[in-house]
Amino acid sequence: MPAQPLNHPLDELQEAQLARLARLADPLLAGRHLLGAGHRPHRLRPGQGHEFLDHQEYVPGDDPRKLDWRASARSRRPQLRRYRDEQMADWDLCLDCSASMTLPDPGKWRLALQLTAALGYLLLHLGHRVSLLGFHRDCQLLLPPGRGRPHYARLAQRLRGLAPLPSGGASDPQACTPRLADRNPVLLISDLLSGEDLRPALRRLTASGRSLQLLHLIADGDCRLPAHEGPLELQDIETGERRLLSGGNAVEALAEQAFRQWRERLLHYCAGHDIRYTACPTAGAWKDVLMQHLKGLQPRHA
Amino acid sequence: MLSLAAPFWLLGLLGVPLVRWLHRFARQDQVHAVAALFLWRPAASPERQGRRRGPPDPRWRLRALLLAALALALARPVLQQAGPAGIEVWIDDSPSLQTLEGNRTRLQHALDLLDRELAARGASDVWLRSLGNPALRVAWRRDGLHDWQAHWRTPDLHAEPGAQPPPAVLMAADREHWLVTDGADAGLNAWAGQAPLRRILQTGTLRDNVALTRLALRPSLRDDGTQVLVSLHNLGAHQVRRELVLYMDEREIHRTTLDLPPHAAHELSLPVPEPRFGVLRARLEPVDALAWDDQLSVTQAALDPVRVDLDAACPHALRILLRNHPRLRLDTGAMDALPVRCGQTSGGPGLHFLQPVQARSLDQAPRYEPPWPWLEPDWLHTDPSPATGVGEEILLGTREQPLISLHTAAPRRVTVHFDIAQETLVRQPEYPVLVDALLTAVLQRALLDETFVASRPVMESHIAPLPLVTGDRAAAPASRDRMLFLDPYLLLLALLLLTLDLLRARRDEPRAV
Repeated sequence: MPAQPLNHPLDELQEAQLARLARLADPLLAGRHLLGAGHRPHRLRPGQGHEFLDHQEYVPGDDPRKLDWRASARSRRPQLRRYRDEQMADWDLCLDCSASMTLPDPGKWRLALQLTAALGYLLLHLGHRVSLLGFHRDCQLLLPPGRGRPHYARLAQRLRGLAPLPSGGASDPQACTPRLADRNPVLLISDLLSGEDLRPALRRLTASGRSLQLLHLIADGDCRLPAHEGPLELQDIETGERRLLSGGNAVEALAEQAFRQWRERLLHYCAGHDIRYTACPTAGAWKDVLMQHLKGLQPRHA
Repeated sequence: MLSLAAPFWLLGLLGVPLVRWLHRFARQDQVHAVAALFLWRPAASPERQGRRRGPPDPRWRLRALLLAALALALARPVLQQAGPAGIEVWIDDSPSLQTLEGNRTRLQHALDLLDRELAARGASDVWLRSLGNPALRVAWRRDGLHDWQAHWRTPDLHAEPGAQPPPAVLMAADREHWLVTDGADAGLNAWAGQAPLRRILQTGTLRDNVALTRLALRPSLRDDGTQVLVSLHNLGAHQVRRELVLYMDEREIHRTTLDLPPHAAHELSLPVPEPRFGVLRARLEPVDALAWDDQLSVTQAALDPVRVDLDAACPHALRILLRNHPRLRLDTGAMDALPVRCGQTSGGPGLHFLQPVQARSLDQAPRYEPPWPWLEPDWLHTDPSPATGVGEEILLGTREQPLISLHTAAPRRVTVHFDIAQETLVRQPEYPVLVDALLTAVLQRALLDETFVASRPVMESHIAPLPLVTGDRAAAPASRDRMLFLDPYLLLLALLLLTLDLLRARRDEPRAV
């Protein structure tokens, strides 16, 4: 993978900003909305549960009802009693690293990295374990499951050294399937521009009850052509297939129409199969996109 | 003036419109990478709407120019540049050019003639070449009339090779070539008739010449003196009278007057009582126009006895024979003596007599081959099938086995494979002849009959000028013009154009891939 560029996209993610976002998201979600059916609770994150986990020093703002007086007497400092949260899970972050993520401009990849890092932070903040997978035509485990702040540091470092393929590959989500553990919820960050019919890929991803959330990166330039004269040859950056066009506005309009139709089919499928879908315009800021996904209030159509 | 050596290749220029036609579609190097080509499939495709034919790919011009340069290069254009061409003058410096005519040699006359011709032409770039020494190349200077004559060889008294035509590689096509000769050499004349010579200057008129062509001496068979043989030729068309004088060590020993018919050879044999002397010189008096061939001299090599280091194991008969040989002296142990060895093995230089182990007489006589004398089979006792070593040449033998062999590599060694002391052989009169022949083979000298010869080819003394087409020769190519072949420049141009096209193609490669 290439060296970290200057002004890396993750430089825009300040941890204080992420922490604030996590506190905002926490009461909104309480972990429940992030989880789908079939999660596997085995995390050590304290939360709502009955199994004793550990003690934590009291800080102002904590619930005083959770004070453990015996432990506090012993340590001469107020101690909170924490219980194992029975709602934690292993999450898989699948990041599209195919060549299409470089077009039409670096904004798509930038937003993808930022969303991946931010989602990873949120999940880790909520006590979940997070792993990172990069996929194109194949899938590679970039970061094994881990939790806590140290794991976020590892996640951020891994993302900083990551770059999409310059050419080739394919935005094929089902490439992740062999590496996904059953019933692990999956967050897929991709432009999904792998083919006209994504249903087989999504079907495989959601097989065995796996929870899937799609963050669909959308760039306006995907349906734009540069100014040119005479015939223009288009080449798919991933497949290498070429097509000669005569250019002109009519072509772009047709491409936009094709995109809309394709996206409508995608939305329809997601809606019918309990796949959380969020459109992520690359022109938008990562915070806005992330909140939109978390609230789940954005309409499915753009 | 521009001309074409292979105009057929100009047909290649017909490919220029073909190149234009092949580039009839516009450049299709405007390639735009997209994230998803499937979004553009509903767009108009060239197959359905047809291509809009715009101007042809502008690269056709470069490629057409490349094709044209290649076609022209193959046609080999030649630019003939007007102007005085450089001149190479080939001078016949064979012995006949030493003929005196009017107190000057033909060579001097020829050089004078050349000087005038070159001055008349105003030539400045002139080089003089020697047919006898093609590597010699002397710049001609108008004020150096005879300075360059010193460069030409003065033929020795003895035989000289005839005037040889120069190698074709030295006949540069972009220069004029002249020949200065007397026309006396028929072979040279034949070459001159075919060679690309622009001009031939011929000099010489005299036709008569008498030459001494051979002077030889060898030991006399009658006595201890020397027999002298003199050959001379009258190459002229008239009878001449000349005196032949012989000098021995600068002392006149013989003088005779000879009337020589035209075109006739004459031989004179006479005895000289002295068996040993230094130099024998024959001279014709008075000398004629070509004095070079009016004398010959021969030096008689030292006739000191050859020392022989005779092995003690050698048989008595051989020892007696060698001791009594008039040209040998036994000197056992001498460093520079001829080794004569007898024994079971051979090695080292000299004359080796192998002693057979299981000697038996031959079943068949060896093939008769001079200078070996005839030898009967029962005189020769040898081992059955004696073998020769590596590098041995059989000088005498039967079909099955060698009898006398020569070691071809240095040092020289002659090996005798039969019993040299065999009783029957020793008593034969051929025995001393055999041993002398063995000595001749190893020494490469006929000790008993050494001949000393000095000679020259008869044709070297031919001075009569033969007809030659002299003056300017219109058939010679390149006359006064210089030729400049343009194909290398066109090929270089084609190479540059090709490089440029490749660089442009690489620059314009779609970077999206």
